[in-house]
Amino acid sequence: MAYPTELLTPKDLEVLEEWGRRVRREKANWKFINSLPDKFRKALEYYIETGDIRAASVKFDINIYLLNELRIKAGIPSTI
Amino acid sequence: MKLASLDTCFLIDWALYRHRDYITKIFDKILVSEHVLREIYSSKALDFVTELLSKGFMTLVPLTSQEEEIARRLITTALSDPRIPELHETEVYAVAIALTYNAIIVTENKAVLWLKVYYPNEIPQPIWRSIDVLLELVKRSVIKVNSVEEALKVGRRVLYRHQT
Repeated sequence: MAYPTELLTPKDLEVLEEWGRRVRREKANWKFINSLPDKFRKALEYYIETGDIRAASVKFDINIYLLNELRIKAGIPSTI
Repeated sequence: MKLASLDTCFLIDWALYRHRDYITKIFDKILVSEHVLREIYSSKALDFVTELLSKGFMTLVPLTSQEEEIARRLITTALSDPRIPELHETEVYAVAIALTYNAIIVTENKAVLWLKVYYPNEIPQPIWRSIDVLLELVKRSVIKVNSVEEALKVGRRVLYRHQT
Protein backbone atom coordinates (compact mmCIF):
# COMPACT_ATOMS: atom_id res chain seq x y z
CA MET A 1 0.00 0.00 0.00
CA ALA A 2 1.37 3.39 -0.94
CA TYR A 3 1.34 6.06 1.72
CA PRO A 4 0.09 9.59 1.06
CA THR A 5 3.52 11.20 1.25
CA GLU A 6 5.04 8.71 -1.20
CA LEU A 7 2.44 9.65 -3.79
CA LEU A 8 3.18 13.36 -3.76
CA THR A 9 4.20 14.94 -7.05
CA PRO A 10 5.65 18.40 -7.74
CA LYS A 11 2.18 19.52 -8.81
CA ASP A 12 0.77 18.30 -5.47
CA LEU A 13 3.35 20.39 -3.65
CA GLU A 14 2.13 23.50 -5.46
CA VAL A 15 -1.46 22.70 -4.50
CA LEU A 16 -0.47 21.89 -0.90
CA GLU A 17 1.50 25.11 -0.67
CA GLU A 18 -1.43 27.24 -1.78
CA TRP A 19 -3.99 25.32 0.26
CA GLY A 20 -1.84 25.36 3.41
CA ARG A 21 -1.26 29.11 3.18
CA ARG A 22 -4.97 29.76 2.80
CA VAL A 23 -5.90 27.51 5.72
CA ARG A 24 -3.24 28.98 7.99
CA ARG A 25 -4.32 32.54 7.17
CA GLU A 26 -7.98 31.74 7.72
CA LYS A 27 -7.63 29.79 10.96
CA ALA A 28 -5.04 31.99 12.65
CA ASN A 29 -6.13 33.98 15.66
CA TRP A 30 -4.88 37.32 14.40
CA LYS A 31 -5.88 39.15 17.56
CA PHE A 32 -3.56 36.90 19.55
CA ILE A 33 -0.79 37.13 16.96
CA ASN A 34 -0.96 40.91 16.83
CA SER A 35 -0.73 41.08 20.63
CA LEU A 36 2.67 39.34 20.62
CA PRO A 37 6.04 41.09 20.77
CA ASP A 38 7.41 41.88 17.29
CA LYS A 39 9.84 38.96 17.08
CA PHE A 40 7.21 36.32 17.82
CA ARG A 41 4.53 38.00 15.71
CA LYS A 42 6.85 38.15 12.71
CA ALA A 43 7.91 34.53 13.19
CA LEU A 44 4.28 33.37 13.18
CA GLU A 45 3.49 35.54 10.17
CA TYR A 46 6.45 33.98 8.39
CA TYR A 47 5.18 30.51 9.30
CA ILE A 48 1.69 31.36 8.07
CA GLU A 49 3.11 32.42 4.70
CA THR A 50 5.62 29.59 4.26
CA GLY A 51 4.43 26.64 6.35
CA ASP A 52 8.06 26.11 7.29
CA ILE A 53 8.39 26.11 11.07
CA ARG A 54 12.08 25.22 10.97
CA ALA A 55 12.87 28.18 8.74
CA ALA A 56 10.76 30.46 10.94
CA SER A 57 12.56 29.30 14.09
CA VAL A 58 15.99 29.79 12.54
CA LYS A 59 15.20 33.13 10.89
CA PHE A 60 13.82 34.65 14.10
CA ASP A 61 16.11 32.76 16.49
CA ILE A 62 13.31 31.12 18.48
CA ASN A 63 13.48 27.58 19.78
CA ILE A 64 11.35 25.44 17.49
CA TYR A 65 9.39 23.90 20.39
CA LEU A 66 8.59 27.34 21.78
CA LEU A 67 7.51 28.55 18.36
CA ASN A 68 5.34 25.48 17.92
CA GLU A 69 3.67 26.21 21.27
CA LEU A 70 2.94 29.73 20.06
CA ARG A 71 1.57 28.32 16.80
CA ILE A 72 -0.83 26.17 18.79
CA LYS A 73 -1.90 29.08 21.00
CA ALA A 74 -2.48 31.13 17.86
CA GLY A 75 -4.75 28.40 16.47
CA ILE A 76 -2.63 27.96 13.34
CA PRO A 77 -2.96 24.47 11.87
CA SER A 78 0.24 22.54 11.36
CA THR A 79 0.44 22.11 7.63
CA ILE A 80 3.20 21.78 5.11
CA MET B 1 14.01 -4.75 11.67
CA LYS B 2 11.96 -1.65 10.94
CA LEU B 3 13.96 1.45 11.72
CA ALA B 4 12.84 5.06 11.79
CA SER B 5 14.97 8.17 11.75
CA LEU B 6 13.12 11.03 13.45
CA ASP B 7 13.76 14.73 13.35
CA THR B 8 12.61 17.65 15.46
CA CYS B 9 9.94 18.80 13.01
CA PHE B 10 8.08 15.54 13.60
CA LEU B 11 8.77 15.33 17.31
CA ILE B 12 7.47 18.82 18.21
CA ASP B 13 3.93 17.75 17.32
CA TRP B 14 4.03 14.01 17.89
CA ALA B 15 5.18 14.47 21.50
CA LEU B 16 1.89 16.29 22.15
CA TYR B 17 -0.24 13.46 20.79
CA ARG B 18 -1.97 11.55 23.59
CA HIS B 19 -1.18 8.22 21.89
CA ARG B 20 2.37 9.17 21.09
CA ASP B 21 3.67 5.86 22.45
CA TYR B 22 1.86 4.07 19.61
CA ILE B 23 4.90 4.79 17.52
CA THR B 24 6.58 1.88 19.29
CA LYS B 25 4.02 -0.43 17.73
CA ILE B 26 5.18 0.21 14.19
CA PHE B 27 8.93 0.64 14.46
CA ASP B 28 11.44 -1.59 16.17
CA LYS B 29 13.87 1.21 16.83
CA ILE B 30 14.01 4.96 16.47
CA LEU B 31 17.28 6.60 15.54
CA VAL B 32 18.08 10.21 16.35
CA SER B 33 21.13 12.43 16.21
CA GLU B 34 22.23 14.55 19.14
CA HIS B 35 20.92 17.58 17.23
CA VAL B 36 17.36 16.39 17.92
CA LEU B 37 18.04 15.96 21.65
CA ARG B 38 19.82 19.29 21.90
CA GLU B 39 16.74 21.16 20.71
CA ILE B 40 14.23 19.67 23.14
CA TYR B 41 12.57 22.43 25.09
CA SER B 42 9.15 21.26 26.19
CA SER B 43 8.62 18.95 29.16
CA LYS B 44 6.27 16.71 27.17
CA ALA B 45 8.88 16.09 24.49
CA LEU B 46 11.55 15.57 27.13
CA ASP B 47 9.38 13.02 28.98
CA PHE B 48 8.60 11.21 25.75
CA VAL B 49 12.20 11.04 24.55
CA THR B 50 13.52 10.09 27.99
CA GLU B 51 11.05 7.22 28.16
CA LEU B 52 11.98 5.98 24.69
CA LEU B 53 15.70 6.22 25.44
CA SER B 54 15.42 4.50 28.82
CA LYS B 55 13.45 1.62 27.30
CA GLY B 56 16.10 1.24 24.64
CA PHE B 57 13.58 1.99 21.96
CA MET B 58 15.37 5.14 20.87
CA THR B 59 19.05 5.18 20.05
CA LEU B 60 21.34 8.14 19.80
CA VAL B 61 23.35 7.70 16.62
CA PRO B 62 26.83 9.19 16.46
CA LEU B 63 27.53 11.00 13.22
CA THR B 64 30.41 9.73 11.12
CA SER B 65 32.11 11.05 8.01
CA GLN B 66 29.60 9.04 6.00
CA GLU B 67 26.63 11.03 7.33
CA GLU B 68 28.61 14.26 6.98
CA GLU B 69 29.24 13.45 3.33
CA ILE B 70 25.57 12.64 2.66
CA ALA B 71 24.49 15.83 4.44
CA ARG B 72 26.91 17.91 2.36
CA ARG B 73 25.60 16.35 -0.84
CA LEU B 74 21.96 16.99 0.07
CA ILE B 75 22.64 20.58 1.12
CA THR B 76 24.48 21.21 -2.16
CA THR B 77 21.52 19.85 -4.13
CA ALA B 78 19.07 21.95 -2.12
CA LEU B 79 21.18 25.09 -2.54
CA SER B 80 21.34 24.63 -6.30
CA ASP B 81 17.56 24.56 -6.70
CA PRO B 82 15.50 27.60 -5.67
CA ARG B 83 12.37 25.44 -5.39
CA ILE B 84 13.84 23.67 -2.34
CA PRO B 85 13.53 25.51 0.98
CA GLU B 86 16.66 25.83 3.08
CA LEU B 87 17.78 22.58 4.69
CA HIS B 88 18.89 22.71 8.30
CA GLU B 89 21.32 20.46 10.08
CA THR B 90 18.88 18.62 12.38
CA GLU B 91 16.74 17.48 9.47
CA VAL B 92 19.54 16.82 7.01
CA TYR B 93 21.33 14.60 9.53
CA ALA B 94 18.11 12.70 10.16
CA VAL B 95 17.97 11.98 6.44
CA ALA B 96 21.66 11.04 6.37
CA ILE B 97 21.13 8.61 9.26
CA ALA B 98 18.15 7.08 7.44
CA LEU B 99 20.23 6.59 4.30
CA THR B 100 23.10 5.01 6.23
CA TYR B 101 20.96 2.64 8.30
CA ASN B 102 18.20 2.03 5.76
CA ALA B 103 15.55 3.61 7.96
CA ILE B 104 12.28 5.30 7.16
CA ILE B 105 12.56 9.08 7.45
CA VAL B 106 9.85 10.43 9.75
CA THR B 107 9.58 14.17 9.36
CA GLU B 108 7.29 17.12 8.83
CA ASN B 109 10.08 19.23 7.44
CA LYS B 110 9.21 21.07 4.28
CA ALA B 111 12.70 21.14 2.78
CA VAL B 112 13.18 17.39 3.19
CA LEU B 113 9.81 16.66 1.63
CA TRP B 114 10.42 19.01 -1.30
CA LEU B 115 13.87 17.50 -1.86
CA LYS B 116 12.43 13.99 -1.90
CA VAL B 117 9.72 14.93 -4.41
CA TYR B 118 12.05 16.78 -6.78
CA TYR B 119 15.10 14.52 -6.33
CA PRO B 120 13.81 11.05 -5.45
CA ASN B 121 17.15 9.48 -6.37
CA GLU B 122 18.91 11.56 -3.74
CA ILE B 123 16.61 10.21 -1.05
CA PRO B 124 15.61 6.66 -1.96
CA GLN B 125 14.29 6.00 1.56
CA PRO B 126 10.55 6.42 2.17
CA ILE B 127 9.44 9.56 3.96
CA TRP B 128 6.57 9.34 6.38
CA ARG B 129 4.75 12.28 7.87
CA SER B 130 2.35 12.07 10.81
CA ILE B 131 -0.43 11.17 8.42
CA ASP B 132 1.49 8.15 7.16
CA VAL B 133 2.28 7.04 10.71
CA LEU B 134 -1.40 7.33 11.62
CA LEU B 135 -2.37 5.43 8.50
CA GLU B 136 0.03 2.64 9.42
CA LEU B 137 -1.52 2.54 12.91
CA VAL B 138 -4.96 2.21 11.33
CA LYS B 139 -3.66 -0.47 8.96
CA ARG B 140 -2.35 -2.45 11.93
CA SER B 141 -5.61 -1.87 13.84
CA VAL B 142 -3.78 -0.05 16.62
CA ILE B 143 -6.13 2.85 15.89
CA LYS B 144 -9.57 1.61 14.96
CA VAL B 145 -11.74 3.60 12.59
CA ASN B 146 -15.18 2.30 11.78
CA SER B 147 -16.35 4.85 9.28
CA VAL B 148 -15.29 7.50 6.83
CA GLU B 149 -16.34 10.12 9.41
CA GLU B 150 -14.00 8.64 11.98
CA ALA B 151 -11.18 8.48 9.47
CA LEU B 152 -11.80 12.15 8.67
CA LYS B 153 -11.68 12.90 12.38
CA VAL B 154 -8.25 11.29 12.56
CA GLY B 155 -7.28 13.36 9.54
CA ARG B 156 -8.45 16.52 11.26
CA ARG B 157 -6.34 15.61 14.27
CA VAL B 158 -3.37 15.61 11.95
CA LEU B 159 -4.29 19.06 10.71
CA TYR B 160 -4.94 20.46 14.17
CA ARG B 161 -2.45 18.43 16.13
CA HIS B 162 -2.92 20.45 19.26
CA GLN B 163 -6.41 18.95 19.65
CA THR B 164 -5.19 15.37 19.86
